[in-house]
Amino acid sequence: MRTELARLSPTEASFEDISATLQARLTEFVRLARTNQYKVGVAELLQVQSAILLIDPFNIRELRSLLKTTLCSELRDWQRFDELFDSYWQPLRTKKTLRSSMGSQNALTKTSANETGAKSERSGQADEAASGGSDESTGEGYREGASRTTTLEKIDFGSITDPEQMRAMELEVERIARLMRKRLSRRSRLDSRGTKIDLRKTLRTSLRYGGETFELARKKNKARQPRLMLVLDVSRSMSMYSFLFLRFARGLSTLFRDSSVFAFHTQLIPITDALRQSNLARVRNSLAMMSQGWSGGTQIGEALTQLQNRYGSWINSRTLTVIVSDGFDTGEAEKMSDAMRSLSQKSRRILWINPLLGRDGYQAETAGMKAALPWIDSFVGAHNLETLRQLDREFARLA
Amino acid sequence: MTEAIDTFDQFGQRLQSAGYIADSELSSALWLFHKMQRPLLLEGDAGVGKTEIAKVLSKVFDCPLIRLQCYEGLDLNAAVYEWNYQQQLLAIRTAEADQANQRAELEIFSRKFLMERPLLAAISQNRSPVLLIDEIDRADEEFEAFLLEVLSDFQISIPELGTVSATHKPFVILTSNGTRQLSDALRRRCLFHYVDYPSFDKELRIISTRLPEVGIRLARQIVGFVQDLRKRDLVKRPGIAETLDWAAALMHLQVESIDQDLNLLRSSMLCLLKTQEDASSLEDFEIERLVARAI
Repeated sequence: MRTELARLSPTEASFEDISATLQARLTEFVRLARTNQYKVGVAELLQVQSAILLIDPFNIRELRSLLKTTLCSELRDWQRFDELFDSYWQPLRTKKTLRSSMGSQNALTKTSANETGAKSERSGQADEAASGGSDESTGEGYREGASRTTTLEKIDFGSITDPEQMRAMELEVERIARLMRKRLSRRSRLDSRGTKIDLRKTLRTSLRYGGETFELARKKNKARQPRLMLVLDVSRSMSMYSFLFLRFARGLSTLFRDSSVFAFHTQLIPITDALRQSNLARVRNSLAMMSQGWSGGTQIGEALTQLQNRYGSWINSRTLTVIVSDGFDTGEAEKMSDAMRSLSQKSRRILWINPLLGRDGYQAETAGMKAALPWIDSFVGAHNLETLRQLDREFARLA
Repeated sequence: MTEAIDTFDQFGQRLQSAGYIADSELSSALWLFHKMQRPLLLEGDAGVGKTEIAKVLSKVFDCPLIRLQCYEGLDLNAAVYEWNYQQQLLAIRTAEADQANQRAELEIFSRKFLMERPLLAAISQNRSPVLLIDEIDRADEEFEAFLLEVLSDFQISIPELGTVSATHKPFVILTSNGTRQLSDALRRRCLFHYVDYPSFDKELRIISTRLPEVGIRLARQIVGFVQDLRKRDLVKRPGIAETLDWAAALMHLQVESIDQDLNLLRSSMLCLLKTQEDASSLEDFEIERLVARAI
């Protein structure tokens, strides 16, 4: 088949040149990828259908490589591709949990199946590939089989008990934070009211006056990146989330040039330097040693007052204050309200991330949360990766 | 290109003879990239050899390499083209002095006054070059949006001249360290390959190829040590370049086995650990443990 197909360039060949079954299976696989959140559509399908002419579709390695290179568009796709591929094209090789979801019909046209000994292995693989069903009913099953990694997206941070899953989650959380950085651009923009002269544009304009400079083009610098101040609640009620948000904080703080991070429960502790340590478990231990109150009660109002008293110089009109807390406060609501009012007057914006928000049935009805709400610019939930990713927009909006 | 490359494996061999050790997955991806001639987006941590891939491809294809290094604030004038203002002004003055030459003003926006920057240069070649757009994640979103036109149609619009289309489609490699999320539109125009840190065998082959004088015993120890070190929670994990530097350093220090002198080993590790946090986080007993596992 390869030799026949190799003579044809993708543009010369029509789809009839390739086995209709193979095309159908490719279509189905692309659809399967799509249901597994791969960003693929008709364009990718056409690309795969034409590129299949370049390879030997009975060679599982070549087929895998083609589909992987063409259908993946980011690391997340890449990491879970082999599982998806095997579940569809090599169901016999995949784990039992996946195999149960496989149907079996529509064999590929096996033109190369009986040629040589070397090829027999190939065709064996092709047989396996061919036996991975193609009926509509199997679609759901594949999604189920290939979704082990994708489900990480929707798992509530508070419900993870598997250490391996926790590790994967931590890495992802930190990665999201790194991607979230609103980048400071040094680039200046043309602006008629700008303070600097843009020489290039001025020269360009002068050409129409025969080289005489009549008009000055001006530019001004783009808005500066905000100063980031992260305040993390590490009290007992947040213990399921605090470690993940510690990683999140580390991801953000390493990329924001101007950032500071604080942890609080009954007291406030600056942890910016501690976060720079590479071993976060050690950070957590040292934090625990620094304070007896780790995972103890919460006095948010008191902590925010301490923040302004001790680190007041840090808070100004450029500061984006991000508070991560569930709002369970054992202190007085009035103190909370006062602290928040004064913080909102000093800061540029306040973003409150409440990991409980977004859970079914949760409403911000604690006294502390109610007292804080009027002073918050944006109140968002982040209890799983999916919602954490959406914080990107909030950061961009507030910054 | 010097000769046809028909299979994945042949392509892998060509890469190897050009000095690049690629695993089968990467050589397959590059073979497809070569055949399909679609842009290839290479993602991976800094130091895993992404840029090197473009360099070696230009050797394999025997064609020029045109490199565009991206940075914050990169604009079209630096990436695509710029008019040569000085020459244009000079031409205007000359035309003014020479009353007979009235057509000069019409010609100041011709190719003669156009300075080609990497993107325009890449589509104006007589043969397909390798165009390396390095660290695209550092560029602004506006520039990324502009790239879409270039990558899908291989043409550039210059208002004064019209549209310049590629005479020979370049082989475009984009690299990204993943510091910023790239747009879906850009990703969908590219093939994708994630370049991970090398496996033990691959890294050993790289050292043996690049620094054969190190000797297989020491090379195995070095690779084992570095592979273990990468599993630690480091700010900057050592890449292939760091391994090669460290191997060269140990060779010059006449180290025959990494358990020979721990003090010497620790001081040589500045080749591997590039931040103060990483260097100070590694205690002596941890180094000893890594050494014990590697030998």
